[in-house]
Amino acid sequence: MAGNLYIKYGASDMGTRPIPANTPFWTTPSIWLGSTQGDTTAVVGQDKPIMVTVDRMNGSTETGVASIQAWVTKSTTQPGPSGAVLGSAGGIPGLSTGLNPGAYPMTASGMDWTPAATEVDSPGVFHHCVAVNVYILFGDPEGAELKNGYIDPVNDQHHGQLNISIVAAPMPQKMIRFPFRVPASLLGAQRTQEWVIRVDPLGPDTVLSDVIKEQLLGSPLIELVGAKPVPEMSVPARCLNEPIQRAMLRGGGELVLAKSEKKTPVFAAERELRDIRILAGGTAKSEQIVKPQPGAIVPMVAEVELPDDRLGAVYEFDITQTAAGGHVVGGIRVVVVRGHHWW
Amino acid sequence: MSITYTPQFSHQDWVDNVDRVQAGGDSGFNVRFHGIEGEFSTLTTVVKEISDAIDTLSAAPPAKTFTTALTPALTPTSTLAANQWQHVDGAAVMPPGQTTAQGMMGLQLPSGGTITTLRIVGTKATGTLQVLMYRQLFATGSGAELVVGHQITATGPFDAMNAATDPTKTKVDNTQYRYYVAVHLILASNTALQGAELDAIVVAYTV
Repeated sequence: MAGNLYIKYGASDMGTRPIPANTPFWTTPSIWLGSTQGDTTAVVGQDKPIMVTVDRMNGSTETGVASIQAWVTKSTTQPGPSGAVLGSAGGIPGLSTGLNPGAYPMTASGMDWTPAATEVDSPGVFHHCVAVNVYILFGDPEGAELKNGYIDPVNDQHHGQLNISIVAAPMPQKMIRFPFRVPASLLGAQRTQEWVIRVDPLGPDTVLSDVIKEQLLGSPLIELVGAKPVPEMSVPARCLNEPIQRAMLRGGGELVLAKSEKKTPVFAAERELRDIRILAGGTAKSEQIVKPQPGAIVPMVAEVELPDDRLGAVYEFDITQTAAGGHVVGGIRVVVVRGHHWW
Repeated sequence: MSITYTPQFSHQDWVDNVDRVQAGGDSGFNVRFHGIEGEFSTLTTVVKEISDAIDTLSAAPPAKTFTTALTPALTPTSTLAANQWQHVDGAAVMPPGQTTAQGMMGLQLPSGGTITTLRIVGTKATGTLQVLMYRQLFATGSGAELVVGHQITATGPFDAMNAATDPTKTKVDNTQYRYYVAVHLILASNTALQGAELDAIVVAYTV
């Protein structure tokens, strides 16, 4: 069985697995929401096609038809078909498309997803939680169709996870609460598994990576000023092989807070988040241990106190789900933007 | 064929002081003992005939091939109507304009049978059609194993048959596994004037 196709977890990924420890693979540049209506966050009633780019090792040409599955969930540390997939995204079997034989990297035609009102997170939270699986069934098969369970990007190059939430924190709000979910082991599993849930703030040097800038620009909170127009802006979103925001950022310019005449730039907050904890079982800690029954999905909340009052400051932290042996199975990148009080 | 044995040897008693003991002659030892010897030879032949007959009776009859012809009745697996198969009398169809269709149907196969082939009949104007026969353990969360499948990429009518080649998966075991066919159509063009139609799923098996 071949093992050539892969979904990049980062721009420099060449397909080798397992992914090195402590690598936030949930900020993949290869999964995004295309949009024909402007922003690329989930908006009730708007078609947001899920776009996926698949890369290939050992030569660019693939002769088999590749199948692609995608699942969209609310903020879940480890998504997959058993992770309470949104009904608007097809339910347990998810969304599907494929790639015809040809030269890779190749971007699949968008899988239509139109969020329903009951599925979008609270106002001020712009969230993507998408799991993707690619496989080939015939010819020189590789990967496998996923009918249940969760994706495992750390060990399986055919899996990819995009899990980024942008949270608006209007001035002078001092604290945010971010709800998320932790899936247990599969229903029917022989034993209950113990998970360690952690929150880890990112330092100023690692905040605002390229992917996060793209995501911010795709949200209604941020706009780009002073950039040169790029030709991709006249291409329909479905026909692009990258997020339109990636192309727009190549035109230079500066990211600023939207919805204001005063163009306040966004920047990595100088001060690191320190007061950050997970609420569970009546306790508030930066690390919680959960042991849910097989098949259960545990709702949890991250609570963050914001130290910097400057408008435009951006904070980031990761919520991770780790098995008892130290193996990270999934995570969520939360991006907090200090915004105008009228947001 | 009946197997019979009729003894040929019959001993006539010698009489004391009347018969002379001798090797040769019509009533000598040699003639008598050769008669017994011939009887053993006949017995050997008959025993072999009996053995052959028992072997014939105990041999398994040659496997017979049966076919189950199914009209596709594909239960939607996606919650989205735009990703489901629709049905007309006698067929499952994907209307034009749709890019994806997903559905499945359960299979009832005789326990102990051996799946030999999967044949599918239909037509399509666009996309790639996958018809996949799986077996899956009863337990929740168990993995599905592909028994035999088809991938149709060419457009137009098709009547295709593939053999189930993995002997570790072809034996029907209804005490552990459920059997079903999943039908996926992907990569269809939403501008195609015609969609796809799946008319028959035919499973052949031996018992």
